[in-house]
Amino acid sequence: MLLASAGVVALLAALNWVPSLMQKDFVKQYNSIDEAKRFSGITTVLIPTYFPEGISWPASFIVAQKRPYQALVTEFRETASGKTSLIIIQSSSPDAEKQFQRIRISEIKEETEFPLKGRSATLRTGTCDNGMSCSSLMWQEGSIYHSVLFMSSPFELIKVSESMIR
Amino acid sequence: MDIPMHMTTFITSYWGMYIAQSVIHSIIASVIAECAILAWTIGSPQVKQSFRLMVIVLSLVSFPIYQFFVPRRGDVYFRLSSLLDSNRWFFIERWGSMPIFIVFTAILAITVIIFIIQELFPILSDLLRQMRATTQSAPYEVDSEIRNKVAEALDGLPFDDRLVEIFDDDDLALFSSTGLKPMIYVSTGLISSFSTEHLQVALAHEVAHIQRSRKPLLIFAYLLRVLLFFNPVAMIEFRRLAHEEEKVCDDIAIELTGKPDTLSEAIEMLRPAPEDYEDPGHRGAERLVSSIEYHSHDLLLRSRAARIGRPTQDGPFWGVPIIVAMALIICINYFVV
Repeated sequence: MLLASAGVVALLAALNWVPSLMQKDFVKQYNSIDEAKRFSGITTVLIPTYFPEGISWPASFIVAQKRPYQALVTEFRETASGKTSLIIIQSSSPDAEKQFQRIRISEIKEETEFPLKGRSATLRTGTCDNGMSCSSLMWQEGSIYHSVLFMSSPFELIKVSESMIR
Repeated sequence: MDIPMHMTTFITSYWGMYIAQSVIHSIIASVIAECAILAWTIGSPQVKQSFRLMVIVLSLVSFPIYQFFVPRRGDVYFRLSSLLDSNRWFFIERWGSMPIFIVFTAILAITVIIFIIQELFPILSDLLRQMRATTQSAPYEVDSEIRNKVAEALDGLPFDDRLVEIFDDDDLALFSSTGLKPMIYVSTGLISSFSTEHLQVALAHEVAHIQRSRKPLLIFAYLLRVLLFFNPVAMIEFRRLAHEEEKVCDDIAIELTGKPDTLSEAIEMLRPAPEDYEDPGHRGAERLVSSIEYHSHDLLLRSRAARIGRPTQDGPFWGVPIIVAMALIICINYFVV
């Protein structure tokens, strides 16, 4: 019985591996943003030029996919605690945030429209599901949806987001 | 062709994930249940029914339970470390950029059609017919010889012969209705063709159905199966569970009459002749459906006749294989998204 179950597990693992042989567009982890950018096919990947103090560069975690929709996610950690503190999602689907947001705002205290260098963005502040206060900004640039989530007040978040737009 | 955004939205939604995972989880559960039946050489149809029911129940409830305890189970990060990510298959594009999800949807659509045509519609039309029959049908005048033969066959069986309704039909037909006023319906054709002994075991089988209906496992399983109307594995498992019910009733009929060989002969006599299913009016798909019905019905009768007389009692610890199989299914399916 246990042998049969081990066989089922091995078969499932093989079935999970087969699609990557047939199509190479599925979500994958990358070591560099350039590599992920090339793979995802998103031509205008926005990278912040401003990082608040205590956020370590380079990105601690990068994933990207081409199918079923283009998406590129970069996560940055706090140098002191080593915890994920800044998450940037860029995608051709508005649903990407739901799928890729490792940390979510569990309690929204305020939601407002915010003018971000001439673009209309949605600014949310509240408490994230890790219990920390956080804020997020979302806007659309052409066909790409951008979402930036930061474990801090909205002031630093706005600075980071503005530095992404040149 | 780009995969339509609404398709992606659906697959990643709660209900989209529920449908996909319910089907995949039921396949895995069915395979493991089958392995357990083989590994522990389980022969009792009642124990097999418990396995079938387990597959249906787990297919229905496992996803919401997993999501309740781990809401992030469906996100990309969980999927990256999962044992099997269904989305990796669904979004593969083949045959002119058609995503495999379309094929999956087509299978579900066929299952829904089969459910409506073969399960829902007959039940509704039967209910309607029964309602009409109570108000419209005139009672059939039964020949005393036929009535006596039925009374003789029922002698010793825990069933009142006034609750047996004889109807005028040359075909070999025998079935029962359960509920507050259970009835056995038997055709004149069957009474004439069967000896009293064969009639007794056949009626004992129907008495067993009525006795079993006091613990309506099948109705419970059917209600769950209705909720999983889109799930082809639930459909197959429910049908196998219903087939096992026939075997359970065969065992009870043998207990009531003590005549296994006679029951085996009676079942053989009920096997349909190929020409019974060859309607000259049937063409193409109708002919195929008719042929499948014939073969599946015949296969069931053959397997029932073949197993009679073979001891199928399992040990007293038959619950252990079910618990082990269930634990394995729950653990494996957790990592299948």
